[in-house]
Amino acid sequence: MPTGIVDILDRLEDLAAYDGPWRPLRAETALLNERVRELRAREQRLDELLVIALVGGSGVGKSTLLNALAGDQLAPVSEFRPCTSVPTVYHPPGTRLGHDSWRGVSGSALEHLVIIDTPDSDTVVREHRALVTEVLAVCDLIMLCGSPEKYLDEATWSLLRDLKSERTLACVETKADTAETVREHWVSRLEREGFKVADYFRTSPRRTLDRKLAGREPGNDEYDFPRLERFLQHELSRERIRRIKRSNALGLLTKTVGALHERVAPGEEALTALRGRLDDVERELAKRACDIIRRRLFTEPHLWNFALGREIGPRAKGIVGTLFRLLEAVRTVPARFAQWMPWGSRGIGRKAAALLSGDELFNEDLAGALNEVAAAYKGAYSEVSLAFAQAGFDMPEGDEQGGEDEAGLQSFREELNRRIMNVLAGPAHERLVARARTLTSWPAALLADLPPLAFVLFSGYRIVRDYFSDALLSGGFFLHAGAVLAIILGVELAALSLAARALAWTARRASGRDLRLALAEGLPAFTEERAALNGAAALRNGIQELRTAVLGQAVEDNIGDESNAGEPNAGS
Amino acid sequence: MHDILGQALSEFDTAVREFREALAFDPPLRDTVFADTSGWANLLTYKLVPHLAGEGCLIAAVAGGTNSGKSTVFNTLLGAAISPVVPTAAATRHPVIAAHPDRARQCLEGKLVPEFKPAPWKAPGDALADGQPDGRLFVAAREGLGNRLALLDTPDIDSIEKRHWAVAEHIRAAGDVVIAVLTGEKYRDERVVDFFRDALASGRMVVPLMNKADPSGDFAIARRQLDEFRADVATEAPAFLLPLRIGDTEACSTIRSADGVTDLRTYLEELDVPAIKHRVYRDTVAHFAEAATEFLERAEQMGAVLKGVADEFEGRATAFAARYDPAPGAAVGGLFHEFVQRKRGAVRRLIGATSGAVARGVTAVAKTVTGAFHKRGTLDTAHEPCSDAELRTVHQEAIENITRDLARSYVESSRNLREPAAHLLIGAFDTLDVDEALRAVITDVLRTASVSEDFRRHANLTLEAWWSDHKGKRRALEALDTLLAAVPAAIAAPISIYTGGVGVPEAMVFAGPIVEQFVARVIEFQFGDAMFDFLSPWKAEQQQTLADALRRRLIRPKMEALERARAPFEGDLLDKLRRCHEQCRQES
Repeated sequence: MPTGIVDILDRLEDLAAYDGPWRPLRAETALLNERVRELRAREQRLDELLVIALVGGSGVGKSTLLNALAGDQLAPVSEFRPCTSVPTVYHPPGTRLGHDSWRGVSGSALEHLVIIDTPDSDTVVREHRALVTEVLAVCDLIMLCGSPEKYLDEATWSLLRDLKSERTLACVETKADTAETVREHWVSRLEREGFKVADYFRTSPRRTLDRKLAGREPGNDEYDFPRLERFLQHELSRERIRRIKRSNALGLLTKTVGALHERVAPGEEALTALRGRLDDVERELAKRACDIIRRRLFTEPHLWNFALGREIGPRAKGIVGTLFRLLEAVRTVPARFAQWMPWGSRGIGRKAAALLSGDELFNEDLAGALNEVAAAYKGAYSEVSLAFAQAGFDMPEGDEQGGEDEAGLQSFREELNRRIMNVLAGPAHERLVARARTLTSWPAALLADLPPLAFVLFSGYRIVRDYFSDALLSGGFFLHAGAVLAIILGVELAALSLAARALAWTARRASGRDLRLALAEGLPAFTEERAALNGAAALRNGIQELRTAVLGQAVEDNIGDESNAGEPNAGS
Repeated sequence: MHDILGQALSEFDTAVREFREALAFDPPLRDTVFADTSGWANLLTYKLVPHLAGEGCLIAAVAGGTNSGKSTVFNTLLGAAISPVVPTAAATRHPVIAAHPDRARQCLEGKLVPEFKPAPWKAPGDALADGQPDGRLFVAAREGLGNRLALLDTPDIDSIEKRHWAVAEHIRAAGDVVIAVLTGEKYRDERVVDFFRDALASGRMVVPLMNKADPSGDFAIARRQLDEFRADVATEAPAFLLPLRIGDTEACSTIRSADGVTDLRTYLEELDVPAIKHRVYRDTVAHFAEAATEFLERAEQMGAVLKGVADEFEGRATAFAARYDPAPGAAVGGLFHEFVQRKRGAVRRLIGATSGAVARGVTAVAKTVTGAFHKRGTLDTAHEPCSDAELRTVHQEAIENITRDLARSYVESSRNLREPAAHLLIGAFDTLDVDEALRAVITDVLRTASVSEDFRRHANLTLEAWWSDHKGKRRALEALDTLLAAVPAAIAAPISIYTGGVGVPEAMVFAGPIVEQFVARVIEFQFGDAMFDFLSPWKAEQQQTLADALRRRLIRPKMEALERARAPFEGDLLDKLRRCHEQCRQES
């Protein structure tokens, strides 16, 4: 077989092996497998003999035709029906056909040809019909036999209809007797049903057999019989046989791929719509998840204050900075030593740590957010799985009453967590550090330390000056100065704390925006479904290509037919 | 006997027609129900019902495979070229009947062979003509035929023209005697043998005739072939022979029997018409009753299957709706409050109503004020929906999930159905517009999410029962209520003594509602143990509403075809058929 068909066959085999969730294709695979097997078998036999089946109703003279071709009483002939009960295989010496139960007769002078005489296709013995079907399965060329009395019987035609375009068909009119022929009527009816008749021979096998047995030279009263013999002996060259077989195979291939394409082609819009739907649902789900996180995480301002405080602490410089650090240390005692204090709040510290260190945010403790995300996921999943079921996918499911898709939820959560952590440990953290740096930079520290330092220096100057002018300051002065210093420090600490809160607030706002951006392009939630969808789309395209390829082959074949050799002689 | 039987038969015929008519909208289903019924249906239409008209004429039909020479035999019997003889196969399209002119007239009036469209015969070519309506029957008047015999020529029974088969089967049903025209090639064809076997089984006489017989050896081959055929079909009628090549039909006008005693025409004319008619009628009824049994059983079975599928699909809506677990909103909680207010005296109720209004106003203000502080989410606490709007969203989502899951389960199970229901539902749910159905379901369910009148009645009964069951508690509560009603006054009294009236209204305004609400809550709290009795019917009611909405919006529109197909099986048509059939069986 030429590479084109082999390649197509390989691809067809891949399709036949499909066991995925896409129903339209899976419904076809049983038939497809059968066809592929048949095509493979035909591919192997391409260089072998051409198998010709003589098929027809009871009593039309199939056995007589075989006898006339062989010139001998090979097959039994009788007036009583049914006569032939086992296919008679007439073959050249040294070849054999796989069926042991069939009667083999060696000695055919027709090289490359095996002629099989079949039992009747229409009598009360039903097993014979099955035998005819078996022979038809292995044959390449059907010689449909019919007498002027019997050529339109449904019983025979019903066997042939399925093989239309898969086998080359030639008609042999037997018992030609008078000038009248049924050729026109017969051929027109065959063509009306879509059969292509490659050749037509009008014969009178009984007369020829009698003549051959008597050893007479051929006369001119045998109608087309000499042409039939010539056709079998000379015209069926190896090349011609190959072309018949190839044409048969291509016929079956075209039919198979055509049927497949017809079944699968209308799915295009459905698949596109499904993809759109899947995108929508994923985007919607990501948006909801984002809302849940923002509503829960970003409405806890104290977390952000706490986090910023932790960043400021180690970096604090100067007097005010050190005081601020001490204050923070005291203020966060309940959070840091929560386990030893009945009133302590452990959550804040842990959450703040998670916020900034990139730990697992969604663990079992955070049941609220977790449940909300799970509920949103379940809603989205039921939407997606319905859409997929409607589009003809059989997705595996958890239980009968709407699968929960635990694995999918798990991976979705992990992905969601990863994105949030990227934001928190990335830009959010950097923002907090930058703000902490600003607050604790040297100029800021100097600026903050300047008023208390100046006041202390000024007070010292007053003390020294008065000491040397022999007027000791009263205790009231020290009290006064201490109070003023305390006020200055208190105001500065308050201002610093306020600034820290304000900066934490801006950091929170900015990080919220970051998170929204990070989740804006949608989270890949339904990977399995998406894979199934992509797979189906790829298969559909593959089938489309396959069809083009097959049509291309068929066109090539026709061109080859016309240029290489004349059309099968339709006779006259 | 004939009256009852006749009535039963014609009723059966009408009912079958109606049944067929009712299923006409769905050809696959109709074909499944009526599969293999053409045999007895033909008998009923073409033989049994017309027979009641009581026409005593023997109808002999000439039947056989394509190209076996039916028309030749027909013409030979009549001694004239009435039916065309053509060398190509499957030539005769329309049947031809030949009868005495009186009979021919009857026939044209549609009495002799009813259900065909009779037309007068003009030329042999008529039977070949295209463009005639289906069921056309050409009627040729022949003086030569006796008043008691009519001859029918039929199309073939085995060619690729399946239309011809049907016509031949109608003719077979209408005939009393079937002449089986055989040839050396066709005498054991499956189609041919089956055709005549069926004819015999339904009470027809089958007369074999070997056409184109080889005269050599006193027809030895033909005789053996005829014997084989008679054994296959099991007919006992004598066999006839027509030799090969009878060049001129006019000249050779006799068809000899195999034993040479008689010829076919004489044989047919000498048959005892009333006896044969009676036997054919009796056998036909028996055969019909036998054959129709299977049909009835199948129809019943299919009806049951369709009903099973419909019930299963509807039942699943209830099963899915049971997963709906609505939370009671303020509407249900309000019932307690209403009840408590009702149980208080008129004055107390007035105070309660006023202070309730004040409390609501204060609560609204307080909520607005504290809203800013309360509006604070946390990562770890579960968020309980409390406002009506929130509850509505939660319910809506639950309904959406249930509806989608249900729709998916329908999509999947409608794919795995077996016939006869499969083709009625296949793909039906694939095209379901879930979003639209969802909107409708949500509207239906959430509109009635507030308490219904039934439930209100039930709730009041539950509370009344509690009220009368707990006499001690009730009295204590009433006493507390009365006592505390005096509290604002008790507070206001000392104030007025010390301040000369300043601050009394303020005390009354603040203390009144607080006390009133406090007592109301105390009383409502006592109902805690009644809460479960109280809520489960409400939930059941909501689930019922959801199940109904699902059935109405999701299932019914898509099951129309199934429902329509079920209707004929559910109606009294089948009962009528069964009754008539039983009568036929008994009478036969």
